[in-house]
Amino acid sequence: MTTRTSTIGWLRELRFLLRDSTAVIALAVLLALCIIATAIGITTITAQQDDIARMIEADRADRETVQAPLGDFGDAAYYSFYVTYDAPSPLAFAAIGQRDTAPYLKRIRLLALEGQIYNGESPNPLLAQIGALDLSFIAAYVLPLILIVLLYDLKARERMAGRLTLLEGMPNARRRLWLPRIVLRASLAFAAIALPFIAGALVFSASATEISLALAGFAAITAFWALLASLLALLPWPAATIGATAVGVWLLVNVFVPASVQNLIIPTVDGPQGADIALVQREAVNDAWDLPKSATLDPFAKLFPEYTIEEALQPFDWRWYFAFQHMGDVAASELSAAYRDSIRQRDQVAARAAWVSPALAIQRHLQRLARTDVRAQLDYEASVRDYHRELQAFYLPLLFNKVPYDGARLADAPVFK
Amino acid sequence: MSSIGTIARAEFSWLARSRLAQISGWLFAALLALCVITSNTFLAQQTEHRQSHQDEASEIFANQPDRHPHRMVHYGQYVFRTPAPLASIDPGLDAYGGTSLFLEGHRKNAAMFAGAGEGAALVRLGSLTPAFCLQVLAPLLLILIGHGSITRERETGTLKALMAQGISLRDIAIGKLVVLFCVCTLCVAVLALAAISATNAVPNERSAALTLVAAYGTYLTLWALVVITVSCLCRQSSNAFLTLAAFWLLSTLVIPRFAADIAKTSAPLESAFARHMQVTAELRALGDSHNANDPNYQDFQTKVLAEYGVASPEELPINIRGLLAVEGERQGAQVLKRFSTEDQQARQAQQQIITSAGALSPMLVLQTASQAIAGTDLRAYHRFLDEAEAYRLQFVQTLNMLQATEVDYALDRIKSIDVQAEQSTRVSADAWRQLPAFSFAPAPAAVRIGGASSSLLLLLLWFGAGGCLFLWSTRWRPL
Repeated sequence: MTTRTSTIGWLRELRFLLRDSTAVIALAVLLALCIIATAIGITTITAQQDDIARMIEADRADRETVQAPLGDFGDAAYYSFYVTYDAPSPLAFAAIGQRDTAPYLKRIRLLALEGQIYNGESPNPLLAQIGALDLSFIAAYVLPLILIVLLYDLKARERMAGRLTLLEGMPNARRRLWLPRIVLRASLAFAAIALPFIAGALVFSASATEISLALAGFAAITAFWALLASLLALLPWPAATIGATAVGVWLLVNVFVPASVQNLIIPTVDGPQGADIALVQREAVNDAWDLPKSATLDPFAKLFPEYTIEEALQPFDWRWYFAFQHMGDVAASELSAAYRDSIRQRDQVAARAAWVSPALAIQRHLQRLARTDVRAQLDYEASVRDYHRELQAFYLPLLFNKVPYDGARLADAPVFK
Repeated sequence: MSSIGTIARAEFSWLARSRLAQISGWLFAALLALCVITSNTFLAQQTEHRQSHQDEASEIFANQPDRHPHRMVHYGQYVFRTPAPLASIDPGLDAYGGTSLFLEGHRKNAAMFAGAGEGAALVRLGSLTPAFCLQVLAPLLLILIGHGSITRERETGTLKALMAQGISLRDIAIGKLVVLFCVCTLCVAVLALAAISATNAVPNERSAALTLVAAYGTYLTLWALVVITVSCLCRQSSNAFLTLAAFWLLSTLVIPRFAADIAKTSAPLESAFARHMQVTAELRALGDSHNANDPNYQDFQTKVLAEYGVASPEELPINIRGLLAVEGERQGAQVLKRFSTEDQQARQAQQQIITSAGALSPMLVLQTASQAIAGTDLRAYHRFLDEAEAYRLQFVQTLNMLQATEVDYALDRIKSIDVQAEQSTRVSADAWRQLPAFSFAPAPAAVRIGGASSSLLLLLLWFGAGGCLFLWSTRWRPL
């Protein structure tokens, strides 16, 4: 086949497509949804960026107001909150993921971290429950249905029109007839999701690698469903049966498989309850008030030999106070690590399930690229833990070395990055 | 009448032969069974966890040793949101709102440990529950097995033959409808069984369970009407299938999300972070009631001294530091109340936007009604927050009064620098045991059903519209 005849073939297919009102409507709906999803994604993420920028500023101003009247580093450590945030990545607009449910801003202070780090929830659980209309949702659930609509009656339509026998009599019928039709329709569907995506990615200046990896994901999911729909379409069945069967497959791999994993396997992953961590931490912190001070300070001095107190203490002393806060974290640390481990294990199960569910696979792929998945959420938590350690490293020397109070030094406190 | 029966029997025997109908039917049945069983198990487990945590937390609190009452104010209480019995049918927001809350004096802590953050969110389509199964998947089943019920007869020419025998299009359509209605009835029967078992131990919930079953029955029958109507109006099965699939996709998957996104962008909420900063700033402006020299509390002190006709706090028969704590808590609670009312109103404004999209999506209407009746909606979540706050205020003020009446003022002032005073300002632990424990229950069934009345009404309107459309599409007309 020469290039010329193949160009004619493509143009012919495009003409056919434009006369097929169902296909045109389906593609238009897909394109409209993708544009809407991109616009919503951009608005949501821009709002989050603005919120983070505003809060960093507000947090600084608030802290300065709080610290102004203080005259003691202990008071300063107790009353000063510090902002931490999970800045959205350039592709977050395409896969909102966990950013919907988990807070992207948290305030912490020098008290026991286990009592603070789990604070925060989605501003409105109703919105979190419904979920977001982002490109990853469209790619996982809507795009396959559109491809089914575009391709399911490939052959049945010609049969209905009485042209099938004639067409199949052509030499190389498969390659010359069906292939261009399938490829053209699948490519247009791909373009409908890829173009709005690229526009969004450029708004947030995503890197070329990230963009191409995401596009590869879109291409793979398009190819999978186009292939499946075409294979079914070439069967000698009535069009409606083919369409319904394809939807049945969609239901099986996109809903039934993840559902079975979610409801049957995920619950078998054992882990401590979050509430246990909170209770253990509080008991450890509160018991310290009633125990002799050495019960806190001796194990604390083992962990931090540089912070040893020689003299007898009054009933209340900030050094002892922050020492038992830290020991509260130590008491809960094993549970807390196991808690995070169980979240990670559940995520592992989901990763395996993605092998048999394209909808899961594409969402995980995009959320990883966008860093909005469970791992990213745990990474943020880890960075908050690191920052809490930095705050300790800043305040504890001031307290334990009995540095005379100087409000100006508070400006040297570490900043979350 | 007998012709309707004949049509229905013929349709049943077609279904029995259709491999597609069988496969989709079994797949759906398996999914529904899986949802009912796992949802039930999961809820039982959650209820047990949260209940036992609540019991444990209350017991630990009651068993605290002798202490200064203000220590107990900050020792605080953990409260847990035990799920509503019907949450096994429709967990609604259960997994998306925090399940526990730490309550202490003059502070508003955020709820912690929402289930959604703990598990890998596998199914972003909606968690696999009986509610999701019936709201989203059951309509798809009806479409798969019902889209061709009239078009098939039209395509093969049997429709003409039937009508030539004097059977009206409406009778044929009703015959087909009977079959889909039987499928709906099967689904609803499963739901009814699940609802009965969920409310077995709580007879008060029976009316809610019944209303829930009726609402789902209405919704599924509406879908059956829509499927037959579209099949009547289309010339080809494939067109009927496409039209129905498009309506299903938009009304169950796209519109609810779109509405939620519109709500999020057009009525944005401030982040919990921003709210926390605002609350703490306002509380700070009230002054520090721990500090008897705080300028904001001087008027209050003068007033107390005048009431007792004494010149200095030492002469008072009561510990003014306790009274200050009571007054500080009272003012702080007003601030917290104002903020939480604003937050709740802002969330409800978002809910309003989403609910109004129910004019385009019957699924959204049923979802709203279902969550309200099950006691798992936004209102139920707010109820938990309100009750927790009321409980907080009550136990904190009781402890503050204890400080006022049981703790000596002179010793109270020097307790942080004097070991002896620190010991003598402790109050007997009996006091903690007398404080009531927290337990959360959903609003009474009648209240919840009342709250769902507008969505139930809208569901009936949808049903009426579907019925009219059905009658119109099956009116007599020349072939």
